[in-house]
Amino acid sequence: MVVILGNGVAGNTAASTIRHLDSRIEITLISAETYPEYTACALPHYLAGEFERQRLFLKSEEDYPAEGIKTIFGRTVSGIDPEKKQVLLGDESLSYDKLIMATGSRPLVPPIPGVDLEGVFSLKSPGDADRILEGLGQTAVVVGSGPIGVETAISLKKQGDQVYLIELLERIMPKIFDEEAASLVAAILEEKGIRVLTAEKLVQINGQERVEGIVTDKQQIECDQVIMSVGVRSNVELAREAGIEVGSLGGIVVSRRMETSLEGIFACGDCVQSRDMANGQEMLSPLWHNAKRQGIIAGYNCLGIDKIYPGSESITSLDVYGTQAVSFGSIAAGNEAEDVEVIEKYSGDNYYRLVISKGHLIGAQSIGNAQDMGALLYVLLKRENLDKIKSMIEQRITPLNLRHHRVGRYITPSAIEAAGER
Amino acid sequence: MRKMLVTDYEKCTGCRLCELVCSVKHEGVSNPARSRINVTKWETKGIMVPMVCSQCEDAPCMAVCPTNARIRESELGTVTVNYDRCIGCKTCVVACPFGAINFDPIDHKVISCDLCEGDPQCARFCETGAIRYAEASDANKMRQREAAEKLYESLQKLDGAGVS
Ligand SMILES: Cc1cc2nc3c(=O)[nH]c(=O)nc-3n(C[C@H](O)[C@H](O)[C@H](O)COP(=O)(O)OP(=O)(O)OC[C@H]3O[C@@H](n4cnc5c(N)ncnc54)[C@H](O)[C@@H]3O)c2cc1C
Repeated sequence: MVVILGNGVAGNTAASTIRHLDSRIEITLISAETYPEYTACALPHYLAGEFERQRLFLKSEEDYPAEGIKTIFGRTVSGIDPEKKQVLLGDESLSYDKLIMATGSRPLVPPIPGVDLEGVFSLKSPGDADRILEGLGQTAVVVGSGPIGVETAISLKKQGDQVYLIELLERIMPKIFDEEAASLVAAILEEKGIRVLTAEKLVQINGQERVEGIVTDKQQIECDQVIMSVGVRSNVELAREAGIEVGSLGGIVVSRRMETSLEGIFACGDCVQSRDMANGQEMLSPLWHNAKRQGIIAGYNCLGIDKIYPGSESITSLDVYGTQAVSFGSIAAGNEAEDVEVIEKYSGDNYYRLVISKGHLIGAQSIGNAQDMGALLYVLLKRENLDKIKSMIEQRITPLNLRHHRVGRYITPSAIEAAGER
Repeated sequence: MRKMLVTDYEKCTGCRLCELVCSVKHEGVSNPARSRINVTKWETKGIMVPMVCSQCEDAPCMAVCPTNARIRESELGTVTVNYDRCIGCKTCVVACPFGAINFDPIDHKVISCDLCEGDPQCARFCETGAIRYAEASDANKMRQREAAEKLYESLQKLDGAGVS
């Protein structure tokens, strides 16, 4: 019997993979939350009022028994006994042959005075979004400008809130964009009325029971809501207490078969640290596609079928009021690799920035067009050399200007019909 | 056996009829910006390359989709989009090495080849045989992959030789 801890994409993908490979094996999936599987990635759209709540969910409750997966929802696993091969749910216990830890991550809540006040939120689950939506129509401060912070700020602005976005460092999304790209995004946000405050530190949240305002190292702002989005932490406490090795980055250490330091216990998703496909270095990569692939690998190996995880990819792609902001791999700022070289280019409405080290592409950012980036991602993952990249950016493959194409004026649906009858 | 679109850039004259028939078929207007196939020009070399979804077996677009919205349709084996789930993040566009996923600027949605329910208009109208709808044999799959890789390589050689 396989027990899976976690009802996110990692746990569900592992469960489906196992079921696909073995139609009989008993699978039990346990989650502290009560929702059927949902995608957090759609939460900003729900928050913006663009999506019905129903669209957050990838499964219904009936989908689990239909797949032959038993569920225990709304129960928190309190411990794991690797000797007895049991997971503990308070006074009860459940035995397993193989265990998969897919406990995910949680929003980081820094110990700032006032952080426990009513009206302070973070965005991770449908319930979080519901609560934020209850207090709309006022002034919101979003603390932390990673992609989730930026998306949250945009969503609240679309709902008519007065929105402030506060970032400690000099630029927004400081981990995934260098200065130029970040300032292009910030300019769009400002133009839409979001107040972007960089190099500013939140020191306190004011209020009696509810939030009334915030204090930064530069000013005071009155507000009704504070949304904390300063990063995520891997949920590794259960693993650590069970004696499973947790790495220096704060994620569960896994082999390339997604097995933990304890035999027969696998881990996947936001709770693990893994290797970067591009440079082989250990990384935390709390992204959907990595969690999903890791879930597949864990599923295979848990049944004894050898399958190797090729590594994680850091890809961020984000819609900023119709302009696509894309980043993958490493950025130049603060990069300790030797000989970091940068190629920058404006091409029409698009901005590109390539980060190169020792003749190899190690990262790329673009603001505007996303379509050219696939070829570059391919170059990065294949570790191609510099010449090819340079030629790609300088003589960029561009579609011709199509609007004036002669044939275009003559083609109509009926012409196609007619031609089809030739 | 399943069929697939096989493209041959050496035969492409860049007439772009494929783009037009594609947009007419799917959107009812002739607007290449809304086409699911793109004829791409390598500016300085003057090479024309029809880029279209290869319906990859281990499709990167499916792997990266954060809402499981890219799904394999069983009948033709195409990779299609469940628009009820798609959040328009375009991570699929970024992940496609062929640049074969387009973004419809009018309907604001990602679009890619669906093989026109088994009768791809681009292949039907391509007069030079640069786009063919042929059996998805291993040979054809290899051919498609090689074409993409050769394209990269030949360009690299030209650049290396300082021809540009
Ligand atoms: C607002 C938002 C937007 C995002 N947008 C994107 C995006 O556009 N693209 C992208 O790639 N990624 C995005 N992400 C990240 C992505 O959602 C995560 O990488 C992914 O959901 C991780 O899935 P997971 O299965 O590893 O963990 P989680 O989804 O965190 O699931 C963990 C599960 O473990 C359970 N659990 C934990 N501890 C216990 C316990 N002790 N007992 C019982 N159950 C337990 C929880 O209940 C939960 O079911 C976004 C995240 C957020 C919050």
